[in-house]
Amino acid sequence: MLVWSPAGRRGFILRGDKMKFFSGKLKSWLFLSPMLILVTIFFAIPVVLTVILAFTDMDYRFIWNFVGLMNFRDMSTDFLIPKVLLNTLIYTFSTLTLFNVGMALLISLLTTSISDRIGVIFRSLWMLPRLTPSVVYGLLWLWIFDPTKYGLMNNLFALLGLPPQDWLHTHPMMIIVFANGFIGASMGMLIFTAAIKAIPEDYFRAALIDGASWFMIVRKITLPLIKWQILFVTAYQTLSLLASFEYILIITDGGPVYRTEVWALYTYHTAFSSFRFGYGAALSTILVGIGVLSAFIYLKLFGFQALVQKPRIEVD
Amino acid sequence: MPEIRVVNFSKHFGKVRAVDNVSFDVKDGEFVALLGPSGCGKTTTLLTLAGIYKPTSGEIYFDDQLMNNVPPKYRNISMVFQNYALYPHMTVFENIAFPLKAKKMSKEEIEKKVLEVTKKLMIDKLLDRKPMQISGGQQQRVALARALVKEPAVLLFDEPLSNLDAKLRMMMRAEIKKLQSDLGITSVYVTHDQAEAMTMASRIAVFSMGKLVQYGTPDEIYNEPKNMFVAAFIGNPPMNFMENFKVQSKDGELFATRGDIMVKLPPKAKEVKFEKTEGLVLGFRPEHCKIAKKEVENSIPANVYVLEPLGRDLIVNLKVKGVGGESELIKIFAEPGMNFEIEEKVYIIPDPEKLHLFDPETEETIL
Amino acid sequence: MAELRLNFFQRNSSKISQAVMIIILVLITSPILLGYAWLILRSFSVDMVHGFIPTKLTLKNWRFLWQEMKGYPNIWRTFLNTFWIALWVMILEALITSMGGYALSRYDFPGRTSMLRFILVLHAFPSISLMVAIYYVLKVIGLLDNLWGIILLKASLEIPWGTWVMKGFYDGIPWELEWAGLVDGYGRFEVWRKIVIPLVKPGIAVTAIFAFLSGWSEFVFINTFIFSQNAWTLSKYVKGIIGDFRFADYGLLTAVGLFYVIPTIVFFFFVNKYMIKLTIGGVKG
Repeated sequence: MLVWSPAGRRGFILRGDKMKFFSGKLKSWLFLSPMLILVTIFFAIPVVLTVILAFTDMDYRFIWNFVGLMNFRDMSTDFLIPKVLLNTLIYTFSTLTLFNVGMALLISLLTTSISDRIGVIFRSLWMLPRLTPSVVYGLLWLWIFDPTKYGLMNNLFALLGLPPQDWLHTHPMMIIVFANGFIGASMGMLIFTAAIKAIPEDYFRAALIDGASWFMIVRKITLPLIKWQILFVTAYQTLSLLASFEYILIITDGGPVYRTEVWALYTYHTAFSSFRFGYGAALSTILVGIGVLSAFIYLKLFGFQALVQKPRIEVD
Repeated sequence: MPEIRVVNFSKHFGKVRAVDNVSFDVKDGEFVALLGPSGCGKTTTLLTLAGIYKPTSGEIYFDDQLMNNVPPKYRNISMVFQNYALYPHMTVFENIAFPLKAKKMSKEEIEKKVLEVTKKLMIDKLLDRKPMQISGGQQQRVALARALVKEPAVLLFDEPLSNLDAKLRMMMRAEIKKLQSDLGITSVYVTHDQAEAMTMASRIAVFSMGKLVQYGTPDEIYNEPKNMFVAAFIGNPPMNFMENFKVQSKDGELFATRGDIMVKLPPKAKEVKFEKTEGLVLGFRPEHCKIAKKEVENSIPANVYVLEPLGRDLIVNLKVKGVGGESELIKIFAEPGMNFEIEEKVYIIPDPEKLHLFDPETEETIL
Repeated sequence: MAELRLNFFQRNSSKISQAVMIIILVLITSPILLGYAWLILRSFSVDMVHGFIPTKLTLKNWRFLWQEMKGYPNIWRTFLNTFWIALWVMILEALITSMGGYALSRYDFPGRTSMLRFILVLHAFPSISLMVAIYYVLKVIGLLDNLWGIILLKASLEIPWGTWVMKGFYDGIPWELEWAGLVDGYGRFEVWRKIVIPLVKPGIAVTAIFAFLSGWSEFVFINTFIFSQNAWTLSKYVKGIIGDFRFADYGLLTAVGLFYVIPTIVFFFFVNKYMIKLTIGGVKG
C-alpha cells in the first residue's frame, strides 16, 4: 500500500528506480546473452588466445611451451617474409584501387546514369559472385585462365591467332587480383550507389541545365558529395583484403612458388600445413593487431553517431 | 528572348499520365505562372521545358525552333529550384560560377560576371561562405544569382519561395517580379500558391490532374473561372458554393431559387442558354457579399456560426439551412465596424453581378 | 533567339552517352556473364567450341548424382551435411540476431553505447585471422571434426553483422507503435512478440537467407576443421573434384559446381533487392 509522506515517497521512488534499472538491465542482457556467449567463445577468447599462443612454440602435439619472443625473432629472419610482405602489399593495393574502389565507383556512376531498370540488372549481376560458393567461383576463374585451349582467355587469344598461355604461371598475381576484385567491388558498388541516389535529384538537374557535361558533373558534384563513403569503403576494404585468403587458397594456393602467398595465407599455411601453431599465431597477431587498431581508427573517423542513438522507451 | 509554345504536350510515366494534352504559349518577355495543387503536372511541364524530361507526345517550341530533343545545355535556360539545389560542397562564388565554368569561360570573365550579379542581388559579401552557412533568404538569392549569371533567354522557377517564411516570401515576391520585368527575360513560374501566381504573373495556367484547366490573366481567372475547380482554387478564403438551385424567371428577370431562398441573377444571365435549370450550384466569393441584420429582398437567411477576426478583416462563418436538413457553411468578409453574436440571424446579400452558376456533374461554369 | 543548329551527336547526346555507358557495363561485367553461362552450358554438353559454345547435349556430366565417385563420399550424404549446416546456421542466426538486435535498438542499459561500438568493431574485424586460436578452442570443447563445431563457429562469426542488420530493421519501426502497445497494457516482451516481430519479418527473412547461403557456401572452415569424409560438405567435395579432374573432365566439374550453386541462384533474386539495406552497415569482403 502506498501512503503519501515526503520520506516514504522518496523511498518508494528510489526503490522503484532501482528495480526498474535492475529489471531493464536484466531483460536486455537476457536478449543479448546468446549473442554474447557465442561472441565470447569464438571472438573474444580467440583474440586473447592468439596473442598468448604467439609466445609458444605449439605444434601438432599441442604442448604449451612458452618461448618468449622467439617467434617474432624468427619472423625477422624468415626469408619468406619480405616476399610475403611485398605480395600482400601488391595484392591489397591493386585489388583496392582497381576493383574495390575503382571498379565499384565506375559501376555505380554508370548504373546511376542510365535508366534504373537496366542499372539494377548490372548491379545484380555484380552481386552474384559474392553469393556464389567460393569453390565454384574459383572454378570460374580457373576456367577463364585455363592454360589449355579450353580456357576463355586462350580461346580469345586463339581468335586473334595467338598461342595459348599458361596464365597461372605467367600472371598469377593478376588472376587473384581479378578474382578478389570481382567480389570486392560489390560492397563499394552498393554503398556508392546508395550514396549517389541519396543526392537530391535537383543538383543533377541544375547542373544539366547549366550545361555541365557528364564528366563535369561526376568530378564537381557526385564525387565530392560521396567522399566520405569512398573513404569508408577504402578503410574497410583495406582491412578485409589484408585478412582475406580464401580465393587465393582455392585458385593458386599461394603458388606458383610463393608468388601469390600473402600474409594471411602464409599464416594459414604455417598453422595448418606445417602445423606450427605458435609461429602461425605470431603471424596472426600482427594481423589481429592491425585489425583492432584500424577498427578503432575508423570508429573514431566515422563516429556512427546517428547509428547509436538512445532508445525512446523507458519502460522495461 | 524567345516566345515559348507548348502544343498538345503529354508526358506519361508508365501508366501514369502526368501531363495530358496541354497547349499554351508564353510571349517574349512574359511572366507566366503554372498554378495547381501538388501532383497536377505543373512541375513535369516545367522540367520538360528545361529539357530534363522529353515529351511523350506533342511539341515544345522556342520561337519556331522545335525543342523536343534539344538537350538542356543548348536551350539557353536557367532554373531556380524549390530547395535551391545549391551544391553544399562549393562556396557561394563557386556555385554561381558553375554555369560559366561549364561554358569554359575565362577566369577573369567569370569573376567579373559573378561580382556583377551578386552586387545586384546584394550577396557580394557572402562569396566565400558555404550554402549551409547562410540564411534561407540568402540561399534563395544565391540560387537566383546562379540562374541569372549566365544571362539566359528563359528563366524557369520551381516553387522558389515555398521554403521561405511568410514575411520573406512577400518580399522576394516583389523582388523577383521587379527583376524579371527589368531584365525582360521570358519566365515560367511554377507554384501552388494562388496569391503568388495572382500577384506576380501576367498570365496564369491553372493545372488540375495533368490537364490545363484554364489559361488567362489573373483578372480572367478570378472573375470568370472556367469551372468549380478554378473557382475554388483561386481566392482566399475560396468561393462559397451552395447546392440544388433552380433557375426561374419572374417578371422578365432571372432568379436562382431554393425553397424560400431567392437571389437575383445578373442581366447577362438572359443571354445564357441553360441546358438544365435544376440542381445547379450557386457560387459567390466571400468578398462579394454584404451582410444585413434585417431581412431584405434577394437575400439568403443564415445564422452566425464562428467568427474569424484577422485584424483588418473579419471573416464571418455562417450556416445556411440546406435541402436535406444539413446546413452549408458560408464564409463572408464582413464590412468593417459590424458586430455579430454567435447564432445571430443575419441575411447574406450577394452582389448579383458577381454570381456564378455551375453544373454539379461536369463542374463547368454555366454563368 | 538565334537559330539553333545542332549536329547529330549534340541532338542525340543523351542517347549516345547511354549507349556508350551500357556497352562499357557489358564489357566490364562480361567475365561474370561468360563464367556463369559457361558453367550452365558446359555441364549439359559433351564438348564446346571456342570455349563456350556447346556442341552436343548430354546428362553424363551429372553421373555423380546416381553413381558414386571413386574416393569420394556419397553425394547425397554430402548434400545433407551441407544442408544441415546451412539450416542450423540460419536458425541460430535468425533467433539470436532478432533478440540481440531488439535489445540494442530498443533498450537503454548501461554499456549500450560501448556494446554498439564493440559490435561495429567485431563486424569489421577480420575474424579469419583468428583461425589458429579457433582451432584450439574447437579442440578443447571437443567440436573439432564435428559439424556442430562448424555450425556454432559460422553462426558466431555472422552474428555481429546480423545483429547490426536486425537493429537496423528494428530502428525502422516507429516508436509510436510500441508506445501504443505499452499504453494498451502489454509488457515489453509481449509487445516485442506480438507487435514488433511481425513487422520485422522481412528483416528476419533476409538475415535468415543470408545465413543459410553463408553456411551453405562455407569452405575454409570445413577444409580446416573437418577431416572425416562422412562429415564432408559440398564445398570440400567440389574442391576435391576440381583438384582431381580439372584438366580431365570439365563437364563433371561444371555439373558438380552447378549442383552446388543452385540454392544461391534460387535465393539470389529474392535477396537482391534487400542488398542495399544490408550494406549500409557494411558487408564482409
